[in-house]
Amino acid sequence: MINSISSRILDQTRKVVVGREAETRLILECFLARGHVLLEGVPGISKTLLARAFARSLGLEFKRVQFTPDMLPLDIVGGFIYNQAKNSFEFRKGPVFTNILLADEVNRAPPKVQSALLEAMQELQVTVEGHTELLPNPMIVLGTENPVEFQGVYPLPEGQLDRFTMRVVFSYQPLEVETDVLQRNLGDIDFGAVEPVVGLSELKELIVEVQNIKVTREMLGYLAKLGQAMRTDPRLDLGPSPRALVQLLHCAQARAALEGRSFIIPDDIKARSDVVLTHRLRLTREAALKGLAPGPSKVIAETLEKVEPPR
Amino acid sequence: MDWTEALAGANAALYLLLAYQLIRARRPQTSHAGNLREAFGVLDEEVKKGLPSLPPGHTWRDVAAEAKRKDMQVDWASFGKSMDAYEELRYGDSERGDTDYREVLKLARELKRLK
Repeated sequence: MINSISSRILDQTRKVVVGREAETRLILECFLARGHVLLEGVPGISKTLLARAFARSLGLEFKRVQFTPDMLPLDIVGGFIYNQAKNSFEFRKGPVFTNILLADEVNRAPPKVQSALLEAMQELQVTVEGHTELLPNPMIVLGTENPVEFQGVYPLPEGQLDRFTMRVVFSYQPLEVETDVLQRNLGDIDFGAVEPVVGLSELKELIVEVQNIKVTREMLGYLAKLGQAMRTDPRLDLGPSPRALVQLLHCAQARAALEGRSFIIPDDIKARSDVVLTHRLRLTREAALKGLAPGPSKVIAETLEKVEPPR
Repeated sequence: MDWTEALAGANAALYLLLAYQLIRARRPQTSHAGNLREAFGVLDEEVKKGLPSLPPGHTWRDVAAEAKRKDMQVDWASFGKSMDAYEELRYGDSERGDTDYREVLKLARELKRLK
């Protein structure tokens, strides 16, 4: 069932976004793994377009917030406002109360706003003046970030980055695909053409299905070995946290489910290590100065080559 | 029969014996395995010797990709089915009935030939 839903979603997003199947699949996996995604790429590379189309194909409530340096936490989570008729304060929900939140240019918001978002992402609840409200379930944050901007941005701290399950990098498309993109944009993009192909209850069932994907003790041991090997790598200042490994495990389960398996194999872990771990690892100053390229990806790839999986 | 004929005969017999030994040595030994798990055990041994370029972190899918790249004469569709069944057994703790593993052993023999 999960396999056919994946292809139906891809069919829908294809109606407005050209050539982003791999990215769509990763976002879907992350959604099924109950995680959040950081979409990274230069402006105008279809990050927002894909996020909108994805939300629409899932038939879920979608909100978009453009992050700016003058934002306040209540712009995201909501706050108490005075109701004159009732002569009392009422909680007005912010845009985070949705199933899919597109946090556009998330690194433009000041740390206070980022930390308000952090609680929502981790706990799936918000607390304002001691009042706690639960967020809808499921809820996913799709944060976008422009890697080439340095002015007027507040780089996401490690703690915040660790909350994002995956970082999906949007690169420029190959020549043929870019030509198709231009062709598609000769007219207006019709979002109405994207139809919801899955219902909320069905999505919740899929999430449970992913949680039930079998993982042997040996596979857990393999994952732990990978984590420890990276933590002791002299080229890294900061290795993967236990949360990072848990999220990698969930993504491996989602990948297995989308491939029609009821168990994970070492290839699932290997295939998702880069997107799940790269943004959380930090190179030492020496390694960075030596130009270890492209960042921690090389360390991850070498660790995967070194650590023997169960065979 | 004088001594030269006897010597020629002995010489021919010696050469025949040498040729037979040479052919036997070049022919890969048939790998024996009683079940799917053993077949992959045999293959694992041959992979270590026959594909030393594979890093320690390789998976069965890496083995298949590398062997395909080396253009080994194996029925890959059949091998793929065996691999799926083995993965199910190894990582899913459930066994499919009567899985054919002849292509797994064939790949092991092909790898042995590479050495």
